[in-house]
Amino acid sequence: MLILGHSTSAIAPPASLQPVGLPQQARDEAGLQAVGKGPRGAISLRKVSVTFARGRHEYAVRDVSLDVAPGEFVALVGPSGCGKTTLLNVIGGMLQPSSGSASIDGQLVREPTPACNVVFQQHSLFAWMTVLDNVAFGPRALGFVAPEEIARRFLKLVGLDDFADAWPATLSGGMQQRVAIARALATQPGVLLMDEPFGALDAQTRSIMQEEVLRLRVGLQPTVIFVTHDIDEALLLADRIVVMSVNPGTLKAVIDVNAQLDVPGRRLQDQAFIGLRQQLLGLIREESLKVFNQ
Amino acid sequence: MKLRRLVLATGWVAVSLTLLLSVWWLAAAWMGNAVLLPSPFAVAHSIAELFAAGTLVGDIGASLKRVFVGFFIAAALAVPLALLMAFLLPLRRLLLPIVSLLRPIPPIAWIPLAILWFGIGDKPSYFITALAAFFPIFLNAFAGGIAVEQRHVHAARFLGAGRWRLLRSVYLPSALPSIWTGLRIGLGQSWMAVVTAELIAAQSGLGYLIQASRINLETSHVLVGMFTIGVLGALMTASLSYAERFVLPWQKPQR
Repeated sequence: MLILGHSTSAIAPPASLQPVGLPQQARDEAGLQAVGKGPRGAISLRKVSVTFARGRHEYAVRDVSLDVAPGEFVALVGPSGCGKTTLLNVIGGMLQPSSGSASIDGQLVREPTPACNVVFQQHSLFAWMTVLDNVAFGPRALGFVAPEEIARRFLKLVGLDDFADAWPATLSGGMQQRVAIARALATQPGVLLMDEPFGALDAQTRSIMQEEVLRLRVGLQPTVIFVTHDIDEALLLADRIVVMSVNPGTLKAVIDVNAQLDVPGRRLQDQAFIGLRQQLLGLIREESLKVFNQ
Repeated sequence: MKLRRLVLATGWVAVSLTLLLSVWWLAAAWMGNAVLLPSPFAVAHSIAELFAAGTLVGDIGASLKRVFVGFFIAAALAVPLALLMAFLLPLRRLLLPIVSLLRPIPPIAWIPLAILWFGIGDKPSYFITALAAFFPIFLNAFAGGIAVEQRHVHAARFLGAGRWRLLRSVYLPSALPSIWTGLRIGLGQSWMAVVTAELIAAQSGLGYLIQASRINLETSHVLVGMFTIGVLGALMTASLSYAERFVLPWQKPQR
């Protein structure tokens, strides 16, 4: 099946999700009403540069300015070494830019904070905690009421409530990533950063996980920055696609996918989809050749 | 299947020990002098004798107490210190040179100071056993602490963990497999050091038994001491590997 996201599920939450009544309820219980006022998760990058001092100054990322609206889903694509992950790390506060600034909802990002959360490519679960304790970690650390209940609810959301007491190492790669997503969402971050979250999964699992992300997104509406190598994945999930160039890592093109593709039911075989894919492949190929010919 | 494996394993242990006893017995017969090397039977007889007199149990108790007190002091100091040093760079820079300097000094070299400071008896032995256990525990805990995955640290901070929670819920458990290795080595070192300490600075314990019996040329009692040390040390190692599955439940048991 190459149709993504059960088509309709991209706009309306599936029935199975509604009784859980997650967003508002979890938000209330989490005591996040204050933070939840108005839309959260606006990202603003102002002339962000990151240099790696390896003898001479090399730019990993140079003069990147980008605004992301609350609830928007932006995919970062580009050849290896174009600074996608570097940019993601700057947004999360895991890396300080050499110049320029990143802010979330007007707050300058200086270090990792709960305003944001990250799903890494793999192996980021705490191996020494059960699945439930992993997901409850955030709610506990932030002093939410009934952290375990919140954790169970989010586990249910990713369909892993039966594995609450399992050790992460006993789960498959796809299941581990679902736990990682549940853990990241359980603190109700305004921004969700995903660094090739499905890069280590097989194709089948990958496509199921993509549907999962679309489904969760509808309910929770975090802003998502999604780094991927996979152009189809970017086209299926994103509102906007940012193509990055190499040496230095800058914004090469920003493509508004929503303007060109129907939001519900994007299909890999549609003409418009194929056209956009060709355009994107062309852009990335140019960059790859640049690296190749150096 | 499980039973069969158990029987097989026990069988091999029995064969192995029989081999040791046979070689020992042959060597004793060849030497023909009970002062140089008493036979296994003579030593077994001595064990029964010392056990009946109650001195063997007393010596075992004295040595075990010294090992465990010293070991716990070492663990209580080494683990928090190592983790703090892994966590706080200034502390690491301040203390690591001191550790590097003190580490090569063998515990036995501290015995003169230990006697001067603490006299003869339990206290110098606590000092020596603690010292012997400290460095293996410290070094392993430190290695575990600095090997903490940056990804885990970031994840915890995104989830709202403060410094204390980071130390307790990420650094400590993440380093625990390594700390556990350190504890195992440390206990072994401590057990060896107690005998050394008792040879010189005590008037009870298995080391003292060996020393006193040597002076009286009661070689079979010397061997009772050696044999007991070996058996208890092996038991400690075995019980620690058994305890591992409870301390590190998330790790698959290594066979």
